[in-house]
Amino acid sequence: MHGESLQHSLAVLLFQGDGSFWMPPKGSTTAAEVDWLFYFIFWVSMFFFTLIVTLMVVFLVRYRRRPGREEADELPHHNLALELVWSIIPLGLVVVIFWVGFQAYLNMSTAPPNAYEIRVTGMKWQWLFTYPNGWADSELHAPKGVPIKLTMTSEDVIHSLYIPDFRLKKDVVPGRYTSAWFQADEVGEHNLFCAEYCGKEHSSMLSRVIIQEPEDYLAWLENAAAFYDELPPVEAGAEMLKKYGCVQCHHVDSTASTGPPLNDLFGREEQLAGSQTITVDENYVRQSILEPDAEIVRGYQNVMPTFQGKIKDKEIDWIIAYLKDISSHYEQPELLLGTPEAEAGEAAEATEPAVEAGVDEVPPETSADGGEGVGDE
Amino acid sequence: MDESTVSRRGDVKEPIKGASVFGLWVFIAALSMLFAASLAGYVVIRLRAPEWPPPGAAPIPFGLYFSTLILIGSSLTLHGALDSARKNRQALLRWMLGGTLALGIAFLISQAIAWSTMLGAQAGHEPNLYSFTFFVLTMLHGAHVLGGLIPLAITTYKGSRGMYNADWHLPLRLMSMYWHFLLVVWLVMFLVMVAAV
Amino acid sequence: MSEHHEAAMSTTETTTKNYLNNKLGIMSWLFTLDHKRIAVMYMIAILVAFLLGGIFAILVRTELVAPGQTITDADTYNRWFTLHGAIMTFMVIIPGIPAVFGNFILPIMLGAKDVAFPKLNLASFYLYVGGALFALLSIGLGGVDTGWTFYTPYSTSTSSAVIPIVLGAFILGFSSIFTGVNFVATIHYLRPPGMTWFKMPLFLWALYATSIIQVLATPVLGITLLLLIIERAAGVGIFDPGLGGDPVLFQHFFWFYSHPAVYIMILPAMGVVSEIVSTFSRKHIFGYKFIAFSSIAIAVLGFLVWGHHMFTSGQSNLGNMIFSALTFTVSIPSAIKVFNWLATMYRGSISLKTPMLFTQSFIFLFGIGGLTGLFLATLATDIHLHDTYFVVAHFHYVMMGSAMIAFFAALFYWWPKISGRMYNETWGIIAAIMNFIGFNATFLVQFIMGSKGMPRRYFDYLPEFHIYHLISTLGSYLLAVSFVVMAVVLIHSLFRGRKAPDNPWGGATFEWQCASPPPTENFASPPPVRDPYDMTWLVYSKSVGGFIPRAGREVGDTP
Repeated sequence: MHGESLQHSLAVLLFQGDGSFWMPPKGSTTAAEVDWLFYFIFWVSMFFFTLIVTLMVVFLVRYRRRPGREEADELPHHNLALELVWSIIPLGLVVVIFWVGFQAYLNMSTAPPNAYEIRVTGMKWQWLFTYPNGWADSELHAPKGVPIKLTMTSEDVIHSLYIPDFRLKKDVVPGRYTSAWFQADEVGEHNLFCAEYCGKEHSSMLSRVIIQEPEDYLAWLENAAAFYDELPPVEAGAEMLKKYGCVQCHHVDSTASTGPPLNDLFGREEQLAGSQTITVDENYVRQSILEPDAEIVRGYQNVMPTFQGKIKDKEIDWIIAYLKDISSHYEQPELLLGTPEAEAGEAAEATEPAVEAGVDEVPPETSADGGEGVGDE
Repeated sequence: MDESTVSRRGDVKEPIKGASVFGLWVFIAALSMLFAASLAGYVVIRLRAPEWPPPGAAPIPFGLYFSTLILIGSSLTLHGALDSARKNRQALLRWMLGGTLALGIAFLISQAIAWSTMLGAQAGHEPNLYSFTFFVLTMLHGAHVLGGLIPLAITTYKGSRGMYNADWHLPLRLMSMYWHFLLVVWLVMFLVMVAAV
Repeated sequence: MSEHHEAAMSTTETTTKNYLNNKLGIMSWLFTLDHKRIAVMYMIAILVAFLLGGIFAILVRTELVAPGQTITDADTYNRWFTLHGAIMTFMVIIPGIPAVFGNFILPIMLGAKDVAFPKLNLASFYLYVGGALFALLSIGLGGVDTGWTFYTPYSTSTSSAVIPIVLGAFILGFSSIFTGVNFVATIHYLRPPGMTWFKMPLFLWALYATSIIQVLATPVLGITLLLLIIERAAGVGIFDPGLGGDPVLFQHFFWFYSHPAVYIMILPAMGVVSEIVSTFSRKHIFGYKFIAFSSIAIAVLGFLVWGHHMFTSGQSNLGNMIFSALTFTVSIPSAIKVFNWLATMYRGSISLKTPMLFTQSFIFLFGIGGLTGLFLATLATDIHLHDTYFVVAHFHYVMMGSAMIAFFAALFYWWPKISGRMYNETWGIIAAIMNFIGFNATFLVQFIMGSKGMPRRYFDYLPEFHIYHLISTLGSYLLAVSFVVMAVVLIHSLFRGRKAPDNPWGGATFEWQCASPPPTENFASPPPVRDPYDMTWLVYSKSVGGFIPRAGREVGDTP
């Protein structure tokens, strides 16, 4: 795998992919201006750097100490005119660079008044993009050819939204809103990073920007919510764990990460930080999502952000359905379904299984919510 | 401030004239930056706040006016002490130094009463930045007064033993520089806090 | 006077008393008030800290040799880069040149016996040790994962051991302030009659400018760290947005110190370079006043540019514009210095010994570090480059490639004076060349991956960045080896090196006119004041192995 990534990056280094030697591909309308400025400064710098190093090397060789050159030549100790020249020329150049950079920055930082607005929430350690129709997603979809304004805030610590291809970066700060805008004129996908150090999973706080044709974007937005409704709850639940970034910290392979692992969680007995023991049931799962700081499993830190106001009740239901599916502590409903009388008895309750279970506080061992398995019928 | 200075030349024995005073001025410049930064932070927080003090919070304790008078008094007595040393009036010097030390301690007691008043008013309320910044500023100043009491006590002791006179009173001079500086800091700080309300 | 030199040279064996052998025993070191012994203790402490910070650097680079988990997990990696940054910044580079070479050389360059306040000097040293121990305590308590910048609200909410290291940095700040006060007072009050401001060696101008920053900026760091500690301990504070506070305010406070701190690091380095370039070119420094005033200009302007660390933080456009413009103005005094050094070398008699080789390395690396600063001062390009490896590479070129390399240039330059021994020149040159290659291999590629969008402080990375990380890591190993070679060269010289002459390089400043190593009192009587860059009265003597006054041009002569 390392070998492959090395080959890949070597190829990128040699053939530059879509970008130039220094810069990534240009994905936004402002990228070209930034790149132009970058290369302008680059060549000005190269000129001065070459000048300095050339003079240095020439002097080191020509004036090296050797027999016949034990002493330096007697020269004036200063030359006001010369010194003023090499003060004023750089000064003039940096004034130009400053001004061009400032003008370009003003264009980049002022969103056009008709920009399409998407809200961004940064949290440890995932991005959530909330679209005008209320749909929230972990990926940033946007129509091409339209200025997009991002209004951003953070749930916990400072993050920074960074899209290299757009030459766009803006800090995402708790307790205030910051904004950024871009316009992409080509359909395509781009990397999105968190650029401000935010803790353990900082380097996995990645997402994708997906630029679509406006009609494709609208279709995606319309279908996105409905898409999950049509999935079986167990599968929808698995998708929710990805969408809300849960799996960043909660692994599904028994390995402890920042948060407790999720497989075999449902029905498991957990030691809480306050030394009580709790059996993980629907209410505990719900509480852990909405008020994560209420009851912490021993050995873990209180770092999870709340999803209150971001996650919908039915989405919690799907997650519970999925957790049950991957837990060995939870009695599989197939056993109950196998007996005809159970099937007959539970069929009536089977339509909205997880919500029922959540409200009734029935221990998972009993059969009250056994209809979970048939909920997708 | 360290009084021991070395001679710059082997043949000159006396300490370098003025180095200690100059060094203390530089140190006071450093402390000024500390207090200036604190006040700048206070002003930023004040400007961000919609209401100051927030509803339900106690006003600035009245005792601070009393503290101010005490601190002014202590600066005056310390100046008197330095003046007495320059004129070789030993009895007056002792009284003035004793008075300064007493007033310095009285200032801290008066501040402590103000702190407990503020703490009492704050009890049961949600923490707020109004009272937090009050404590940070006044305690930062208080800590410097407390730190100043130690050399002041030593100076008082040495003064009472007649160790300062018209020829030698450098420690007294350094002490009074620092003490007057704390008074100036307090006056500015207090003015800003009163003006902020 | 020249007889004295000759006599000193011929009777060096065991008879001369110097600062190293006039008193023996550990107590004579621990309670010494001698600026030279304090400097040596600083040197040992700072090099130990450098070793520790370097180990963390190598661990960080090793983890990054391939994407994914390589030798450790994300949590440990975050602690490593935090400790690397905090140790190198607060314990190595900020005290670095002033505490070691400032302490050793400053009084001698003035012709004084010591600094103005020797007891305060010793107190500074113990504050340094105390602060360092506090900071290291955090390693014992599980480490810190905030990054050396301690940004709120992460630093107030993480579960790692933040308080000890912040307290450590706080105490180190006191050490820095006291050193600054001491140097300013020393330069003002211990100059001998005749040494006017413009007859001071440029290293002293640099130290003076540095001290002013230390005195005026460090207290702001003090109050910032204090507020951070209170907020963490009490849960209430002005950086908490929940209470109406402002987490970005912390950044303003922090950078108000930490940007000038960059000039605390680089100004003494520039002072060292001015001395070495002139001495090894055997030529008067070119444009003395421009270099001297550019130090002061950098110190003053350095206070006004902190906001350029916050171009992406949501700072107003007006604020960004002002900070961008002011940042560009700092580049001019730096450019002036570089051109003046080159002009000094022009038609000189250049001896490319180890200190000079390091100095040329400095000019090369500072050229890159300084010029890449233009990309970051420019608003439009900084938005893209901020918090990427481009910034990491830029500040390593300035802090390590420039400030640390100047530290090593100074170490080799003044080593004969400090230790009384000559090091092996060939191996010194080999180490310097390895260092130069290793450094560029490590950090040049970081510019490319940074501008291509690789964010900093990443435990894991996308596969397209692999090649750059691999080269960088291999370079860092070469860099590490070069430091091992340097250590061997210097330690070897202590045991096997030939006795150093008083003036091995031909410098005209005062420190080359006292014995190597200097006696405790530095000078029996201080040498007469003359132009510190007039070297025409010195001539190389084969029998001495160093420079001696020319016949008929005694030390006391004023041309």
